[in-house]
Amino acid sequence: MGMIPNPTPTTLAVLFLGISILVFLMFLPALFELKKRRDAGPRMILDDIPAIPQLELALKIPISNIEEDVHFDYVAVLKTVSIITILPNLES
Amino acid sequence: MITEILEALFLFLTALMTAYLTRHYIFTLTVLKNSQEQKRDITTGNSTYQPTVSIIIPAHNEEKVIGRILQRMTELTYPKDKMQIIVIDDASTDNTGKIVEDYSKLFNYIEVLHRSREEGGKGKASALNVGFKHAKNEIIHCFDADYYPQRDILEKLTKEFCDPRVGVVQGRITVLNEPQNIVTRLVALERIGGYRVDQQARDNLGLITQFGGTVGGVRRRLLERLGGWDESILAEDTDLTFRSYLAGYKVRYVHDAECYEEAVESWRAYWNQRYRWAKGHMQCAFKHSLKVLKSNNLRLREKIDGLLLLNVYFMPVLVLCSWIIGAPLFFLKYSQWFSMFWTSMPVSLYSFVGNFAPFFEVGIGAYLDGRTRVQWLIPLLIFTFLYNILVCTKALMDLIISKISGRNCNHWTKTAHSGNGNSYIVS
Amino acid sequence: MGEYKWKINHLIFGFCVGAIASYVLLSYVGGESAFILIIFNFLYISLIFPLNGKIAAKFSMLLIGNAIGLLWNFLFPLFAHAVAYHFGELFNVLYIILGPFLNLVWIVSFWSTSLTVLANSKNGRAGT
Repeated sequence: MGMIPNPTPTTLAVLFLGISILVFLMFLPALFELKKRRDAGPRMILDDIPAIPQLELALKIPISNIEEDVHFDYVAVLKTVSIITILPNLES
Repeated sequence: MITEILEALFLFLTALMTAYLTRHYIFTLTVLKNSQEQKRDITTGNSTYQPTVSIIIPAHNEEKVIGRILQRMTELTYPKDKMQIIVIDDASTDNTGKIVEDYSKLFNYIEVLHRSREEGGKGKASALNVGFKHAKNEIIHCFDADYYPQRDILEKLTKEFCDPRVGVVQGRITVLNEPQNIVTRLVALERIGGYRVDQQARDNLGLITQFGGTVGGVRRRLLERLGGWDESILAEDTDLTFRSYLAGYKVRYVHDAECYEEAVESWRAYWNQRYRWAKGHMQCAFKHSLKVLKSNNLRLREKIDGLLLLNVYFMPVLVLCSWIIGAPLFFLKYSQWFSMFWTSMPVSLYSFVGNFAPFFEVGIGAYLDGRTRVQWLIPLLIFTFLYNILVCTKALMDLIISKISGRNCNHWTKTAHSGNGNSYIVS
Repeated sequence: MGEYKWKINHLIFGFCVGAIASYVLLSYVGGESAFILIIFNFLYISLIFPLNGKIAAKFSMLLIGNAIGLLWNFLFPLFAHAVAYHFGELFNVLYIILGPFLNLVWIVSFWSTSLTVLANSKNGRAGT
């Protein structure tokens, strides 16, 4: 790579700024995720969850939302769904 | 002359790091390839095989978590008439003993063994041996007090013992309190890389799968033959792994057998835990390296992988050495090939970030788990690796000093559990 | 689990691109910069290209990664040289030690972010 023969202090400052920005950008995704967690949270261990189609929708919802301090009760959703599934179709 | 020696040393260290890099790269490709073949759905073992099991849970001052695991034990689907749960109240000064006593009064398959302050508090291996003496059944399972297993975990772990060559089984560990803070999130990353990729690949390739001391089981007759856990080693799980392999048995990793754990929540606790692991692992390296090399029960690839596994905690120290050697060498004897090695060294460095799972193992593990954002934290693992360099260097120095001075260096610093994981269990 | 399929055709394409890129880097860039970019290309192609996702997205990210790498390996040596010019040759030590280290940070960061892009891509998501 070619070098600048006699770099001036201004060149040095510009280069320092450029390097700093690049290093900051390298860590930016990590800082974003730390500041505002969007990750789904701990891997859910599929335990005694019944195999029903609505399960997939429930599994896309994170266990907890750190920002709003809400713990989504997916088990309640699944229990409700399993009850609805076996109810007779009253419209038929 | 000195330059030549330094050069040879640097070359050797770079070769070692490249060996680990290659090993982890092969692991990652293996798991990727096997995942797309859905090998996970191929069940091994006979799921109707249900021998009697004894579950040992050592507990020292675990009042915040012991109730959770015992409640979970009562919810396991394994036949209760084939289960024996032994909780060792290891010189606890809190309500651990009382909580376990209450459970033992309600459930006849739960027993508690109280150890006084004089006889207890000597570490996990000692507690496990006490539990083992009281265990009556064919398979001995171990769980730490802060764990929360699947309800059918015993079936999944135990069925592997159908194969008479299997002496030990190990399940997967997932961090329960992952969202707690940056420490728990980075530990969760390490666990993903370590179990989803590293352990899985070693099992797929028929290498040395490691027993983690919890969420796993061992044949009773193997344990009797080996004389129980070695109380002189801080990493009793690694020691058992290698003694089992040397005795001609295998360790199976059962990916489907999953359990939550409560990860350490502070850098201080992280230090204490990894210091114990590093020191214990190094003790195992001194104890087993030559035996692994000479063993007739191990194939060549098991010997190579076994040696790499045994010596992995020395690597952060060796990385530090390579920096110390490489930097002056760069000025003393600059050459194109040296420059290339120096440039590539950090690649190998990243090959054992965190709990020695490299960045690509962690990333691919998270990808296969269906995670979409946790990978953004992977660059931060470099800081845990730098921290681990200090941990491993201190552990090695303490070990050498204790060997020279003849002092007992096996002080067990217990990992404190806050019970914060309870809030992440949806019930 | 089960949504992931090994994209062998993407991998073959990636290695062809990687081979061309390596030749170009060695011929026109050279030195440590070329070496680190070849490492990046190898890791990226072998570990990202087999995953679910559009080949165009993977190729674009590979190009962006190489651009970032080239930019970094252009700016950092310039900066190090300028610092050494103003503050003394001792600062070359910092460059020698930090240079490869920081190179790996951008590789890891970019690779990890690419995984997220692929995991979210319309053509497929990784299974559990």
